[in-house]
Amino acid sequence: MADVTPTTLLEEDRLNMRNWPRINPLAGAGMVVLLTIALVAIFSPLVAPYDPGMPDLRARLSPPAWTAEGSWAHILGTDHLGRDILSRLIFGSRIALTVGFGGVCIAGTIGVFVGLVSGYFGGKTDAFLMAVVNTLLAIPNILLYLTVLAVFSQSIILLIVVIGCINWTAFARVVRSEVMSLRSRAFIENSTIIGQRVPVMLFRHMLPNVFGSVIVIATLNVATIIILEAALSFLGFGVQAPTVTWGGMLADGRDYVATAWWLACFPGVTITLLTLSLIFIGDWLRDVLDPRSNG
Amino acid sequence: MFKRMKTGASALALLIGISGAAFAQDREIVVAQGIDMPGFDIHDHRNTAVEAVMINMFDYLVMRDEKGVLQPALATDWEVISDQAIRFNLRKGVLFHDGTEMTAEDVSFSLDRVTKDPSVQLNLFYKAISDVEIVDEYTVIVRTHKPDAILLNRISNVGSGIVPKHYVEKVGWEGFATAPIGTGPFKFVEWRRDDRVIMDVFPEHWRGRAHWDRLVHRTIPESSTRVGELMSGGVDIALPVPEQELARINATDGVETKPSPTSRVMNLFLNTKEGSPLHDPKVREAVDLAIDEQGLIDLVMGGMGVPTRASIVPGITDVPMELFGTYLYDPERAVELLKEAGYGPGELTIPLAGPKGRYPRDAELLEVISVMLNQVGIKTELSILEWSAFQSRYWGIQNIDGMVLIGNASPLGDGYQQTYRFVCGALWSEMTGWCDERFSELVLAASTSTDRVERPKQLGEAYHILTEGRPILPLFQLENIVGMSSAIDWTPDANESLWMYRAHPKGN
Amino acid sequence: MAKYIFWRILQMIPILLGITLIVFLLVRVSGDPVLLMLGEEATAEQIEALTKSLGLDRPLYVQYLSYLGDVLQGDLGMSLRYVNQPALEIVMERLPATLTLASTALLIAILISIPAGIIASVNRHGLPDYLASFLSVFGQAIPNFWLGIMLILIFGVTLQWLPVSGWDNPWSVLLPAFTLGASLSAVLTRILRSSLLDVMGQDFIRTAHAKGVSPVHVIFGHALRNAALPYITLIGLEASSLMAGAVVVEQVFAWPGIGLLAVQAIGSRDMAVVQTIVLFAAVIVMSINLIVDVLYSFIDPRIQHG
Repeated sequence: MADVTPTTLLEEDRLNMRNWPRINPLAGAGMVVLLTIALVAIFSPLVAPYDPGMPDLRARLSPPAWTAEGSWAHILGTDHLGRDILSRLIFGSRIALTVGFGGVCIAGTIGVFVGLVSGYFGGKTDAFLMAVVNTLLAIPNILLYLTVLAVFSQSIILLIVVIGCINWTAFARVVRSEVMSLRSRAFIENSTIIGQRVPVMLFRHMLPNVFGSVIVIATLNVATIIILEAALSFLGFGVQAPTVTWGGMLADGRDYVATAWWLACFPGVTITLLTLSLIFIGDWLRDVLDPRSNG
Repeated sequence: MFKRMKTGASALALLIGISGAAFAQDREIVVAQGIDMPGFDIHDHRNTAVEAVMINMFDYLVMRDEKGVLQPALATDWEVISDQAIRFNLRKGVLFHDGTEMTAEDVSFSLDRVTKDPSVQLNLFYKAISDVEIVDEYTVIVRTHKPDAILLNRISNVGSGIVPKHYVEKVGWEGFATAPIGTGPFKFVEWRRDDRVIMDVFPEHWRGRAHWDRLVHRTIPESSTRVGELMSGGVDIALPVPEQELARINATDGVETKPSPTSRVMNLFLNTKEGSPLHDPKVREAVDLAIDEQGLIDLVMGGMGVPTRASIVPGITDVPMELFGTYLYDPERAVELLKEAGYGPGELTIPLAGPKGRYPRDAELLEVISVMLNQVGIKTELSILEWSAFQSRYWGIQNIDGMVLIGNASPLGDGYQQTYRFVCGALWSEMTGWCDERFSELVLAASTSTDRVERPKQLGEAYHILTEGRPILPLFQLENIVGMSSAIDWTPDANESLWMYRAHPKGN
Repeated sequence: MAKYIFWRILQMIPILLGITLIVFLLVRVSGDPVLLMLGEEATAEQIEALTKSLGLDRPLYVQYLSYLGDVLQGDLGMSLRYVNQPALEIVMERLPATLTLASTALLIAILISIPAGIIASVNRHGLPDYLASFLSVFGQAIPNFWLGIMLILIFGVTLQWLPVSGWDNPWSVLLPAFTLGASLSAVLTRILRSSLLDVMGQDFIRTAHAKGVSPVHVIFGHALRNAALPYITLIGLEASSLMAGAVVVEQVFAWPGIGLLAVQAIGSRDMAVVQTIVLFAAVIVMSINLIVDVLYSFIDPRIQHG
């Protein structure tokens, strides 16, 4: 690697970015699912057949339409308060995507910044920042989430911020190691000699080069966060009603698994479907953006 | 557990060739609840579910039977010597689990701490007692600071357990908390935190030997897991069971469900202070009329519960039962009242807060109440918090914004308990900003009255003033469901106790 | 080697300090434990007395230093929920349950992932490969509490093959351990497959092939050994998520370990216990990482520790 000239390397990287391989069917399906969910989230009030919070005594625990006692009034059935599950899933998609992408945006920003700084400056700065990373990695994060959410409120904003502030270590580690290897290459030395200031150099030259890995981590991280939200709801510390969340639906439905399976089944399937899609897309992106690894 | 125990026991019987009679005696009963013990310091907890377990190891002087009637226990009889003192004759020959005999010394020692030490949680119920005098080895006199109509209620309640003085003095209350000794039908063996409490039968128990050789109390927080254990025979009695599992359990051979009414009433506390829209009695009445209590019970609680207009349940002394079993619901009138108060549809927004995971279906109740209020044109700012977060936020005096959902139990079994905190200056009066002179007078009079004719009238009028004043909107009495093995003969009682001395295997 | 291990243990100290600081701050911002201890009808004097006796009236840094001093002496405070019982004792007695659960889960994950990874890589782009890949992605995508509830319903209640909950007998560990190990086995399968494919594409394996060494021998003799490095690294990285997963899984199965304790403690604001659990969990995670690093140098003597 050391004898590769800077220019060829840069061009090779760019080439790889442009050289998109065929979309594999799984990633394609994943994108369709993700896009559908995103559209549904944006147009929730238009798409949802019912008000997601409106209870209906007469329609309590009505099963999905295709079952024997089901009715087409509620395609996916109703929950224990007679609320339409499809409508709740539709509105829940907003929270899932907001928390997932919002959390990743914050985590990504912090992580990339820490990684850039740590990798570029090295030395004591690096040692300190990596100690922070290692500290966060050593604590099972769910305990931190639970404590913070129990202490403060269980609002969406707080959830996003907390996830963002704790979940950035993966970004930082990867960006740091990429920056370190980039730094050792000659072209950075050149730009330093030309006299660019450090921030300019970091963001103009380093950032584009780590972008690929960051996108891959981000995609997979959204999936992790969506499952995390479900787990927090399960433990009773998730975003609370009247906000509808998939994790909350799944958590509320768990007591009905044996008696009214559709309560927990559909949110469970939806969460799994979205996370599957994100993982497929992430794997594909990794193949595209990071040809060294073999997915 | 039945199944497994029997096979284990029969294997053992084969092995050492013991007789069939001895084999029939080898019985274990497993009870599962969602909560764990905080330890066995009988004076430092405030939880009926905890007391329900402890009662298997301790006895009180006077204890309630399954109908809620006070019966002699460690005291054989008692005599009211003045309106501030009762003399108790103690039962002779009662043994503690370590084999020593219970005497007046132990009774005095046991009650002394909870009446005098303000740092223990149950002091609250006992501080009315001034002293416990030892007359002789088997006689004590319990005195109160002021005339007290409910002294017997106090000492037949959580924290009334009699413990051995010599043992506590040796190991301290800290030591006692992990290795308790009492006079109850079962003695402590082992406590694995968050898992189980194991108790063995105490054969020398003064009532006679219990029907079980071993009593295990398990902690299973997930209700679906708890029901799963019940259905697969892992536990014999499980509570509470969620309402939707009722049909499934009853359809399964070998397990059944029984209703278990509680003394807990779900209430909305309202902020009636100046500046709050609920300061206007018309708005409070509109809120009352907007909520369909029976609808809440049917929709949210699966039909379990009884609507009420006061925080009272059957079995509580000196309360106006005409307020129980009834509710007000008139959405049209609610809209009119709001108009009279100057609010058109959607013009009034009231914060509505409550916990999640504290009471059965608490979050769902709040959501549906919010919808009911919306339907008469009141908007709500709903905030539901996990219980511990809720506790630290809404605890204290100034913190009720609009309406808060709280469930109140009446372990003392007397009408005084749900009224004295609304006396002007008391906690709930400060919290809600509601203060009524006549009400306070009546409650204070009732608190020191031992007049069995006047007292119900005083408390009755007080409850009516409270119901009309509406600083608190009682919704309904909570009813739990107990799931249990059909092989066991046991009925949940009104005290929510899990006293397994009363349970026995069917056919015995 | 001994020197390296010693050095690594020294490196843990600043991290542990960081963790004590985090947990300390979390606890102090968590509001007043006094009110929770005393209940809603506490008097002002009661509150004041308890605040004093707990030392909550001192400045924050004094409280931290005194906390640190206590920790060094093995005093981690008293539990709130378990009245008057030391937090350390409560957490210690729970450790065996969590360690049993986590190590069984790890064992299950290894037992699943090694054959699955090998089969998938040998049959690259064949049906077994797609099946293994799909299942392993699925294992990551399914929330573990959901899996646990399903397993209880199927194996505990319907079939009655395995105990539903608690820790009665050795079989009790199977359902929770499988639930906990499912997502770990999924990621391990993925990494093993891809690193085996990597290794098998390398020159020396091709040479081995060319020399006529059988594919099975190639895998077990050469490729597996070389693929072990990323595999073990991943186990180290996943140690923390294993502990995090235990928090949820223990709640589902009423498994009496530190995860269940943690949730209950957070719910009742029993902060001394929460602090102790976080410290212990961190030490466990760091120990696993240390073991992984040591294993590393056994497998690959090229890695030098200085």
